[in-house]
This record gives sequence, structure tokens and C-alpha cells, in this order.
Amino acid sequence: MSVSILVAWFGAILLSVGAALFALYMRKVIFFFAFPIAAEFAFLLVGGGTLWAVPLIGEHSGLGTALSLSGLVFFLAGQILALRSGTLSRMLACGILAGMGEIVAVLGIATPTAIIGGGMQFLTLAMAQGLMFLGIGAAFFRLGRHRIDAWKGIGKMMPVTGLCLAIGALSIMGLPPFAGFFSKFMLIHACVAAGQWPIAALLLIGSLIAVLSYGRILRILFFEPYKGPAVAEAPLPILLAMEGLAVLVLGLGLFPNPIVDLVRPITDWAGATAGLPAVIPALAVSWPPSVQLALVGGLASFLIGRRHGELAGWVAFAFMLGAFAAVLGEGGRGDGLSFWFALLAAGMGALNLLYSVGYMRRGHAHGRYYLMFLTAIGGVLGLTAADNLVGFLLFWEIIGGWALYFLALHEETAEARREGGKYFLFSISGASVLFLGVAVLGSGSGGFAFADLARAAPDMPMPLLASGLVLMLAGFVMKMALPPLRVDYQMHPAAMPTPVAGFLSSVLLKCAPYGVLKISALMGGALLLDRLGGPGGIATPMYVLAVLAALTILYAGAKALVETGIKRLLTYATVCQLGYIMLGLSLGSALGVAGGLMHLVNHMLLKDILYLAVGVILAQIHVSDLDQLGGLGRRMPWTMGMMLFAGLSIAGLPPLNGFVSKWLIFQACLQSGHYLLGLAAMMGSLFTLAAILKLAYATFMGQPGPGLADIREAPASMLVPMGLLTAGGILVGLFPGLVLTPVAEIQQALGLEVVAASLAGPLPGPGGWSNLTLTVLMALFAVPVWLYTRLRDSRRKSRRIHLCGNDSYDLRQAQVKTGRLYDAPSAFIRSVLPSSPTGQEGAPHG
Amino acid sequence: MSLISRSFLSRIAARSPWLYRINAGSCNGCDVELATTAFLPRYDIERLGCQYCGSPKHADILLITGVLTARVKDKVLALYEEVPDPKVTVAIGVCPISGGVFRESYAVAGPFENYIPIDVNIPGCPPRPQAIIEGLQKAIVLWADRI
Amino acid sequence: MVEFLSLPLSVLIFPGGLFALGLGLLIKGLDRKVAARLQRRVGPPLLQPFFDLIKLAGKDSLIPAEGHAGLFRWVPLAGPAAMALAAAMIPIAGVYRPSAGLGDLLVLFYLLAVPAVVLMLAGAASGSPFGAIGFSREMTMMIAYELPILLVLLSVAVAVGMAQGGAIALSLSDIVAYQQVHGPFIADPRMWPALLCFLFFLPATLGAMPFDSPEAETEILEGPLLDYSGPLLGVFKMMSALKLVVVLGLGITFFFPNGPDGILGLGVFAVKCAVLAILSVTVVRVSTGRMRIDQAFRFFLKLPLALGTTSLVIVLSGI
Repeated sequence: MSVSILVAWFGAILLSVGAALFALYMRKVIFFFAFPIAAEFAFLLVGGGTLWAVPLIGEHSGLGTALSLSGLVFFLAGQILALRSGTLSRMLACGILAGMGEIVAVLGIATPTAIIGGGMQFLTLAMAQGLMFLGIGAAFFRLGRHRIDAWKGIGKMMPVTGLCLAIGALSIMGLPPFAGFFSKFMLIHACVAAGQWPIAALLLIGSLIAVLSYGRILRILFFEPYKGPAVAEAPLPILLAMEGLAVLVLGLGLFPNPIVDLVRPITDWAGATAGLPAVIPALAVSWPPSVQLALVGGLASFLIGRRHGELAGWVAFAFMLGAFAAVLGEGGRGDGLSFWFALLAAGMGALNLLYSVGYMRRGHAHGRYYLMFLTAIGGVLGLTAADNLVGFLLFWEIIGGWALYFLALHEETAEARREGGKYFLFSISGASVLFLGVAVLGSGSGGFAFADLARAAPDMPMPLLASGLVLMLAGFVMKMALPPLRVDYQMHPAAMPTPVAGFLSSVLLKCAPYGVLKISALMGGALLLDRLGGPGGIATPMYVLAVLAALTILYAGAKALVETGIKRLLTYATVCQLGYIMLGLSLGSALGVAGGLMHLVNHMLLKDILYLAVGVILAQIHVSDLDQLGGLGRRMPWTMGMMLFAGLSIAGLPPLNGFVSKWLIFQACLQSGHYLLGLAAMMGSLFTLAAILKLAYATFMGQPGPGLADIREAPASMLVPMGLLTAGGILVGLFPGLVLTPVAEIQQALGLEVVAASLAGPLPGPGGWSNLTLTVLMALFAVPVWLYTRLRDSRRKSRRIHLCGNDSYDLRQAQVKTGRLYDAPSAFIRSVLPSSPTGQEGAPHG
Repeated sequence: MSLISRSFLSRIAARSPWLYRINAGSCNGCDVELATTAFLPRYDIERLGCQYCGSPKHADILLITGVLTARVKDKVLALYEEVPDPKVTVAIGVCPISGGVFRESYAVAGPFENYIPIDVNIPGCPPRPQAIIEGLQKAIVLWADRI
Repeated sequence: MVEFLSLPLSVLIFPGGLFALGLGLLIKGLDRKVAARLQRRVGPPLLQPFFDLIKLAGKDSLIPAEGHAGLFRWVPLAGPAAMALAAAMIPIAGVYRPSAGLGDLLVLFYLLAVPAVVLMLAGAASGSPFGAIGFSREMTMMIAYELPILLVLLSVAVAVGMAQGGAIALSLSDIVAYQQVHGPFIADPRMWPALLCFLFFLPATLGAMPFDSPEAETEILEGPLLDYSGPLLGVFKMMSALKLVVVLGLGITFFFPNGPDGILGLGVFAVKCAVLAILSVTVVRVSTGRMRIDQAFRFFLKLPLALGTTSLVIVLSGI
């Protein structure tokens, strides 16, 4: 029997390779299909189990490996061809080829899990591709043109068709919550479970190419201006068919179990001879009420937003308040860390949505904006509620995947498209690394539930544990845009709408430290660290993280210092502060973790204020460079005041709240003997100070530039969120115990060393001081001096500034350009660091 | 304020007269003499508590040289406003008093007294350092009364 | 309860607040007198800075019309307040031991940044181009001297910490106590690089020649202070007098805190402050010209940085 099977398999492979060569010769893609079709038919006819007959290479089937390898070649070739194709239909055809190659590559592994994965992928791909073909057909029917360039902005003219195309594309990319995510998950899981890591890695790399090509489709469909005659929506029959498929794709993405049941018989038949049990992890993901509320709210404001932009904002805000209440009500989020993080995320989300109402007054596409914003917030709430790795990954990809991509492109400018595409690719790359890590840890512990993981971690073999952990950490690190990769390629794009950028900076990026803490605590915390060993009482991966964090602080801080683009400066400053958080957490000591978590909260409040303050201006006028601003402080005193508070606090000026958390981190570094890390952290805070003062100077001080005459103070709907955040910052500064007490509880729950925190007492750590005392003492000195100057108010006069008697100066001309503000240090930094290649935003001024 | 004797405080304050000088179209002769009094050890005026300021907003005593040309008139008057009260004005050299050798010129807007009150005149072309210091002392006495 | 009263007193009267203010003004007067004598002048009376301050309190205040009146009036207040607090954190051997609740070396170090930030914000708030240049130079100087002084700070703290068997001693009282037992660091050749580096830091942070370009009166008309007058200018004078004492006190704590108990100790402390000020500020400022800001920046990247690094390496290697 084995001989005949061998012959059959080789026949199939030879036939298909021949067909492939023929296809190359004829330059027709269609002939490529011979291979995967032949292979899949052979698989079905002969049975996957037969792959195990002969010969074995190590633990793997030799035949199967050959099959996998050739499948991979087709997969990658298909993806590259798709990327290079000029028409959508050709791109889809190549996509199908890639998809089939992918299936063959996994089928070659020939475990029952792999067969189930292959079957699921086959079905979901068929649905999604069918959906896209229908959509393309409909668009072609109306437009009558093939070239992809001719389809710019068509999603705006044919919204339903566009939406269906988008759903299809997202599903093919394997993004949640669409059916493609689960089949992709099963494929990767099957590869890793069978020990075929390289295949999994190659599949993920290939899907990054798919991200490029399908991301391009999304960009062209929705974010390019439409030029051409008005076209009607697709005819009703096509619409109905598309809508049906779209609902199916979405539905199976939310409830994946039917599809598993559907392919199970095939497995039982094709995989019967292998004698291995199928390992199907529990795929159902829980969608807690808060997430549901956020998503429903998103849909509601999407529908309302087409007509009534402002109303949509209020609806979104109302639903977010509901979600906030739901988070409070749910309670059962496993641990304090998740609960507090979810609560903060919901609160920050609500504030930023409230702010958006004012911000979007002159905006466009309100519905899309609020839908994506609420989806991203819902993603965080889901992430914190996840009790298994599948859910964790799913929500992670919702946050970092398409929701942010759509928001990054929201402004629909060339810069937004370029930067957004870059960010999308990097975001998915990071998620892919995380994906692999999840698959490794999940397969290693025999289940994806956190409970399984916690149970299995102590006995897991060292290489498996370490590699899974390192992969996951790498994924988290990529999310935070820590080096060694170039920071400016990884960090979130500057073109995002400001409230989103603020939320992203203050909450979404914090998912990474959250993940680090959650996963490492889950796998045994201190126990795990002991097993890994490393220098200075820190596990090696954590030590590497700490060093990376310190480098980030210096690098991003220095970049922020030389940067003159408004949002790029803030973005670099964000990355710098994430470095502090990571530094604290990776030290792992009681003080370090407490400092890191407290800085996380502080940065959440403060960086959001900074973004929102800048947004007050950007909502009224479109500028990107600091030199275009100036002198606005007299017209917007509240905004300036809050911005200065937030900036000085985040730069670590005592006695503000940012200094309290930074002090904890400094102490943690120095007390554990990591002097250089501490030194980097302290220098970084000086860089932040320089960057923030530059921002304040260029925006609010000096004299107003041309075109700024109409800028006014923000409306109440924008000032209130900022005011609440400022009040929060002041409160946390005066009573650090408000944050540190929950932090201590979290440490207790996670099995880490617990910091000695009290609500009103001095700070923990050696030489702990009380910030309240310091503030009161300073006030004691300042108040009499202030009173004296008040007493002499009658002798206050207003005079022009001194210009040596010369009244013909143009003060605007005399203003120091932002790029020249720190000339000597900037020149030094530029000579040390590679200069940023992109955009006029960062260009130095001559 | 009332708790402590006002005259006591003003006696102390009078020991800190800060100077600001304006060249309102001078030939520079008087300015050289002013620089001399400031910087040569022999005439050191810092012993009177004097100190040259970079900014008129810090100053108490305004030293004016030159004829007040038409071109700088407005600027000088603006600078005069920038010196916070109480203040004393000292005209140095004959030019600010009468216009000196330039007095008939079309370019001269002076004399100064037509625009701002001059408290002390130190005539000379240029005045000797000793004369300047004596004039300064008189100005300080005047200034002490105004605090 | 004792703490409840003693803390405010330590900030308002002794050793912060009035005492530090008086000492600072006195040292400033001494500085001016000695500088004058070095130039063979008679010089002002020793109490001249007191006269200046009292005079400023009685003058009008002018608020620039093109600036930010609120910020312009509010920002200066933070400076002397932070410095009075910082002065209360400096121990005086045998006389005063700061309460632990006031904070450690790190808090003190970050409080020392407040005056610079106040100057920068004040300069920017005045709306004057001269102020902006002063702001720019102030920040540049701060970036220049921050790393060397951090290295000095770590060297001292680590040296004490390692000798005590721990990692690092960030309590100023511990640093003083250690030197009282084991002799001052000034007598220890290993700490000389740190001391030398500190001597470079002093004129830079105090804005004295040759590093006074942020407030250069002949170039940018005193930069950030240009548009201040009257009582508000006085607030800045208070701030700089207090800062003088804090920075000198920090140097004394680091390198030569030893002294007798009681009122005599206080006198010794004041004398040490004065000597340090004359050596590192007065003598230097009368014998040098002003460095351009880029020269000053590059200067600090060379010798002081090398000294600081050497110092930390020596301390860490435990020679």
C-alpha cells in the first residue's frame, strides 16, 4: 500500500510542479492553480493520514514536509504577485492562489489539527473571496474600468459595496472579528503544535504581504478623493448576495464554533489514519457587556453620523458612559490590574469622546470616526476581560489592526496615507510576533485559557517557555515602539485626529506594559524569573527589556528635543515616557513595578492633556509645524495653563505628580544598583523638559503668526475633559496613595513583591517623602510673597516690552525659530543620531 | 509698610540707585566719561550702590546724553516711560540742556526739558568724572525723597 | 506635633527661608566686594544686595503689554518657594538635620531645576525676543551641565552607599554622617575629580561668568529678566540668593560637611559657603570673559563630563 501512496503523492507533486513551470512559461497565473488543486484533491482522495506512511524526517513526515514546502512557495509567490497586480480581479486571483498554497502548506503537516485548520481556512477564504468578487463585480458594473487606480474613493460613492469589500479584505488578512481570524489562528496553532515553527513564521510573513496589498485596497477605496461622475449603489440582487456573505463572515468571526463543527467530519475522515487526536482549542471568545455596549454604540453613531455629526458624538459619548458603568458592574475581571486598566480606559475613552464632539465640529466622516474610535476602546475593554490567549490576541488585533488604521487615515491627506500604511504594517508585524508567541505558549501548555497556562508554566520545558515568552515580549515591545528598530518607523503616525492620538498615546499603547505584566505574572511572576536567571537579580529577558527601555528614553527623548513637528514631538515624547513605564516594570522590584504602574496612570492623564491642548488649536486650523504657531496663550489661557501643568509634570518637575512616579522609578534603578539605567532615566527627563518647553514656547508664547487671528479658546465640551484630567493629575500628585494603594493590591494579586503604600502617608521606598508636605511647604513660602505683590496691585502698569526704544521691529520676525531654540544641543544630537528621513515636519530650519 | 518706619526703608532703598543711560544723539564724549566713571577703579561708583542695568525697567536713575535729535525723540520718550516710578532724570553734558554746538540744527528736537522733566543738569562738554559723580550724588538725594 | 511645627519653620525661617535668604544675600555682597577689591575698586557695601532687594520691593511693577500677564506674574513665585524648600533639605553638620519626610538627594536635585524652568518660562512669557533667547540659552546650559553633575551626585552617593554596605545612599544626612566619621571627601584623592567637576558646575548653574550667557546683560539685556521690574524682579533676586545657598550647601555636604556643634558650626558653615563662592564664582568671574553659548555647551561635553565619568568609574571600581 505504501508504495502506491508514495507514487500517487509524487505524481501529484510532479504534475503540479510541471503545471507551475508551464504557467511561468505562459505567463498566465491561472495555470499555477494546477498545483494546489492537485495537491488538495490528492489529499482528499488518498487521505491525509497517508502522509505519515513513509519516510519520516525526524518527527515529521518527509512527504508532508515536501508538500508543505511547495505549498509555501506557492503561498509566497501568490502574495507577491497579488501585491504587484494592477487590477483588483487579478489581485484576488493571486490571493486565491496564495490562499490555496497556504492550505496545502498546512495540510502537509497532516495532523488532525492541521486538517481542521486547512478546512476552516478553505471555507472562510471561499466566503471572503466570494464576497470580494461580488463587490468587485458590482463596482466594475458601475464604473466599467479595471485599473485599480480608477477606483479611488469608490467606497464613498457605493458605501454598502465598499463596506462589503472592506469586510472581505479584513477577513482575508485574518483580522478579527471576522471569520478569517479564527482559521488563521487554527493554521498557526496547528503548525506550532506540530513543531513546524518555520512554516508558521513563513505564513505570518506571507500574511504581512497580504496586509500590504489589501491595506492598499482599503486605502484606495475609502481614503482617496473620488474624481469622476456620480455612480449609483450596486443593483439589489448583488447587494443582497453581498450582504448575506458579509453577515456570514462577520457572524462566523463572532461565533466561530459552527465552522469548526462543519469541518470536523472532514477531519475525522481524512485524518483517521493518523491516529492522532485533534486538538481544537476553545475558540469562543467572551464579549462582556461593556464591549458590546461600545460596539453597539459605535454602530449607532455610525448610522447617525451620516446625517448628524454632532449628535453621533453625543451618542458615542453616552454609550461610552454606559460602558464605563458596565465595567464597574462587571467586576469579575480576574484581577485588579485588568479591572483598573479597563476602568481607566473606559473613563479616558469617555473623556476623549466628549472632547471629540467639539473637535469634530469642522471634521468630516463623523460616523466612521466614532465607529472606529469606539471599536478601539471596546478592544481595550475586551482585552482586559479576556480569560484566554485567543481572546487576548483577538482584541489585541482589533485594537492595533484596522480600527487604528482607519483612524490613522481619517484625515485623507497624502501624509496620513503614507504614515498610516507604515503604521498598519508595523502594527500587524508586532501582532504577528505576538501571534507566534501565543501559539507557542498555548501549544506548550495544552490549552489557551489563562488557567491552563498558569498550571502548565512551572513544568514547561525551558526552551519552549523562554521562546514563547520572548516572542510575546517582542510583540509588546514592538507595540511600544521601543528600539532596536527605528522608532520613527514604528510609532503611531502624527496625522491621526488629535483625540485619537491622545487616546492611543495614553491608553492603547499602555496595553503593551499591561500585557507584559499580565503574562509574566500569569506564568509565575517571581518563580518564572528565578527559573530564567540573569544579571543583578533580574531575569535575562527582563534585563534586556530594561536596557531597551533606557535606550528608548534617551533616543526618543533626544528626538523629541530636536523635532519641530507638533504631533511628531508629542509622539516621540510618548515613546520616551513608555520607556519609563517599561523600565520600572522590567526591574520587577516592588518599587519598580509600583513606579512603572503609577507612571502609567500619570502618563495617561498628562499626555492626554497635552494632546487635547494641542488639539484645541488643530481643530481650528490645519498646521503641522511648530513655527506656524505662536502667541496663542493670551487667547486661550485655560488651555495654556493645563498644557503647562501637564508638560512640566510629565517632565518630572517637583512637586507635580509626574515627578512622584519618576522618583519611584529612579529609586528602583539606583537602589538595585543599575546606575546607568538610572542615569539614562534622569537625562531623559531633562530632554522631555526641553521638548515640552519648546512646545509651550512655540505654541503659546511669543507673538501670533499670520493666519492665527481667528483662533479662540476651546468650547466647554473640550475644556471640561481637559479640566477633569488636570484635576485628576493634581489629586494624584497630592495623594499618590490614591494610585499606589490599588497598585499594591495589584502586586499582591499578581504575586509580585508588594510596595508599602498608604493612602495619605509618605511615599514607599528609602527616604520616602510626602508630596503633600512638600507642596504645602512651598505654598507657605509662596503665599506671603504673592500677597505682597497683590497688595501692590495699584502700582502695576502695563508697558510695551523693551526693544531698546525701537518700535519698528516686527516681533514675529524677531521670534526665535523653534528649530534654532536649542541650537547647540540639537546640532550635537543630530550628529549622533541618524536623522529622520520622512516629511517636512521634521526638517531642520535654516 | 506702616509697621516699619517709611523713612528708614527709603533711606535704605536710596543706597541702591540703578542707572540706565540713553544716548540721544551725543557725540560720544559724555558716554566715554560715563564709561570711565563706571569702570575705572579710581572713580568706582559701585561704592555708592550704583549699578548699570541692561534694561530701563530695572533702573532708578536715567542718565541722558546728547541733543535729542528729531529722529530718536519718540524712541527716547518711549524709553523714559519704561523706567518705573519713582525715578530721577539726569542730563549729562551741555547738549541735553541747550543743544550745545548743535542747537540751531534742523535735526535737533531738544532741549529735553520741553518733553520730560530733568532733575539734575551736569553741564560740561564733556563734564569731568568728578562732576558726574557729584551730580549723581545730588540725583540720589533727590531720589531718596521720592521713594 | 513637633514635626508639624518644625517643618514649616525650617522652610520659612531656618535653615531655609529667611536664614538662607540672608546668607545668600550676604554672600552675594561679599562676592561683589571681593570682585571689586580684585579689580582694585572700593566696591559696594557688604549689605548692598539687601539694599537692592528692599528698593525693588518699593518700585512700580511694569507688565509687558505683548506678554502673558498671568504667567508673567505667577511663574516667578515658584522659584523662591522651591529654593526655600531645597534650603531646608540641606543638612548643617552638628546644627541641623533635615526631616526625612522632606525628601532625598533626588528630590533636591529636581527642585534645583525649578529656578531654571522659572527663568525660561518667565523669559518666554514676557513675549520679548530677548527673553526667548535667554530661555534658549538657559535650557542649553542646563542640558550641558546636567550629565556631569548627575555623575558627581551618583559618585558621592555610591561612594557612601558602598562604604555602608548598601547600593547607594541618597539621604543627605547619611552622606554627612559618613564623612563625619570617615573624614571629608575633600581629603580623599579619589573624590577630587568629582570635586573639580562640581567646581565647574557651580558657575554654570548660578549663571556666573564664564557661563552667564543666558542672562548676559551686554548681549541680550539680561534675557529673561529684561522686562521684569520692581517687586517681581525682587522675587528673582530672592530666588537666586536662595539658590546660591542651596548649591553651595550641596557642595559642602558632598565634600566637606565637617564642623563643630552649635552656633559655632553655623558660623563654620557660613564661612565654608563664602569660601566656596569666592573660589568658584568670584575669582573665576573676574578673571575670565564670557563664553559663547555653543562654546559653553561643548566645553561641558569635554572636561567636566570626563571628570564626572572618571569619578564614577573610580568609585564603582572601588579602588
